[in-house]
Amino acid sequence: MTGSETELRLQIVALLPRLRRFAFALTGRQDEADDLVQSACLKALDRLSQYEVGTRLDSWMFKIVQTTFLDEVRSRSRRAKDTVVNEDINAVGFDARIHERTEARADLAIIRAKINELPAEQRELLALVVVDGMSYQSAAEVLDVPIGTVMSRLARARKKLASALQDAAVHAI
Amino acid sequence: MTTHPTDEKLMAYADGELSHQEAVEIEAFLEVNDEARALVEQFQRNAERIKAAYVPTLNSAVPDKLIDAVMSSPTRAKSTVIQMSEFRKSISKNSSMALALAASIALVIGATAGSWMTQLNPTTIQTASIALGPVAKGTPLENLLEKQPSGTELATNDEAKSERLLVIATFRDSKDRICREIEVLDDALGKQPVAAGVACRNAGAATWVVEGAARVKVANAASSTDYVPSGANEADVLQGLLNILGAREALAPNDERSLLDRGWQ
Repeated sequence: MTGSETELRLQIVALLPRLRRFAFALTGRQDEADDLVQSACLKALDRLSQYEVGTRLDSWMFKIVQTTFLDEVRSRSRRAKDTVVNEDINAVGFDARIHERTEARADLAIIRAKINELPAEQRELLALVVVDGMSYQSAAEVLDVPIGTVMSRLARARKKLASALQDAAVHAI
Repeated sequence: MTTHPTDEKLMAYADGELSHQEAVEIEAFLEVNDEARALVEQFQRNAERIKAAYVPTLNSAVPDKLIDAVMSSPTRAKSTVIQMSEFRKSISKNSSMALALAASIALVIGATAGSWMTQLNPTTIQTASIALGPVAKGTPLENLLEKQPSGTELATNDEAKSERLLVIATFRDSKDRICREIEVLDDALGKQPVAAGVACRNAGAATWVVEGAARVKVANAASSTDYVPSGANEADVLQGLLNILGAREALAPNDERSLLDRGWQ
C-alpha cells in the first residue's frame, strides 16, 4: 500500500475532530484528550501495515484510541486518584452562579462532568453511539462486545445519566 | 404489541436502530403507553444534550502538533507518492462548494510543504505541466495566475503535449496570501484533470510560487501505472486536507475580479 500511505495519513487527519471528541468524552479533559489522541495516532502509524485497506478506518482508529485509553486508565489507577471530576463540577457551579449568560455553557459542562462520573465502559458507549453517532453494530465492533451488551450497557448508562442530570437540576434545553 | 417492550428496545427505537417492522410495533405501543413514550422522549432529549456537550470540541481547531504527528511520524511501511484520485473528478463538477474544496486540496499540500512535501516523489510532479517552485515570468502559467479570472484555460508551452492549464479558484491561505488552484487538463484524456496544484503570490516580489502539486489519478488512463488501488475514501482525504489547512473559502467572482483589477493588491 505504498502509494496510499499518504492518503491514509490524510484520512486519519480527517478523523482527528471525531477522535478528539471521542477522547474528550472518555477523559473529560481536552488536554488529556489530545494527549490520548496523539498516543493513539502514533500507535496507529506504527502498525499502519496492519490496517486492512477496504475496512473502516474510523472503527480501527476509534478502537486504538479506546484501548490506549483503557491502558492509561489502568496504569493511572495504580498511581493516584483522579480528582478532575470534582474540580470540574465546582468550577461549573461557580460559573453558573456568577454568570447567568454562561448558563447554557455551564449546563453542557455539567453534562460532561456527569458523564465523567460514569464507569469507563459506559462512557465509551455513550461516546461512540450518542456523541459520535455510530450504529450499535459499529460500536460493538469497536469495543469487541456483542450487540446485546452494547444495548444493555448503553441503556444503563443513559438511565443513570438521566437521573444524575435530574439531581443536578440542570436547566432543560 | 401486547408485552411491554424492554428499555433497551425503547432506546433502540429512540436511536432509530430498529427495523421498520419493529418500529411500527413500538409506535403502536407508545400510542397507548404514556410512560414508555416519556422514556423514549427522554432518551432522545438527553441524546441531543449529550451530543451538544461535545460540539465545541468537534468544532475547535485541531492542534498542529497532532496533525504533524499524523503526517510525519514514522510508520513501518515506506511511501512517497500522493495519489489524489476519484474525488478530483467528483469535485470538478463545478458547484461553488466543489471549487472551494478543490482549491483547498492543493493549497494544503503547499501549506504543509515544510513538513512532508519533501517526502513526495518529485518525478510524480514533474510529469505535469506545473512544477514546484517559483513560476517564471512570461510563461503561460504566470499569465494565468497573475491575470486571468478563475475558469480560464490556457495552452501550455509544451506543444508535444495535449495539456492545458485551468485556474480553478482563488482564496487566501492562513497567512492571508493570495493563492490559486490550477489544474492540468489533458485533451487526449477527454479533458480530464491529470494534475492539480496551488500557487501562492508573494506580494512583495509580485511573483508566484507553486507550493504544492500532485498528480491526479486518472480513470481509464492509457498508462495503468497511474492507478494505485486503495481503500481510500476520497471524501475523507479531502477532509483531511481541509483540516490541515483550516482552509478559507474560495473568493466570490466579484471579489476575485476586483483583486485582479488591482493587481492583487
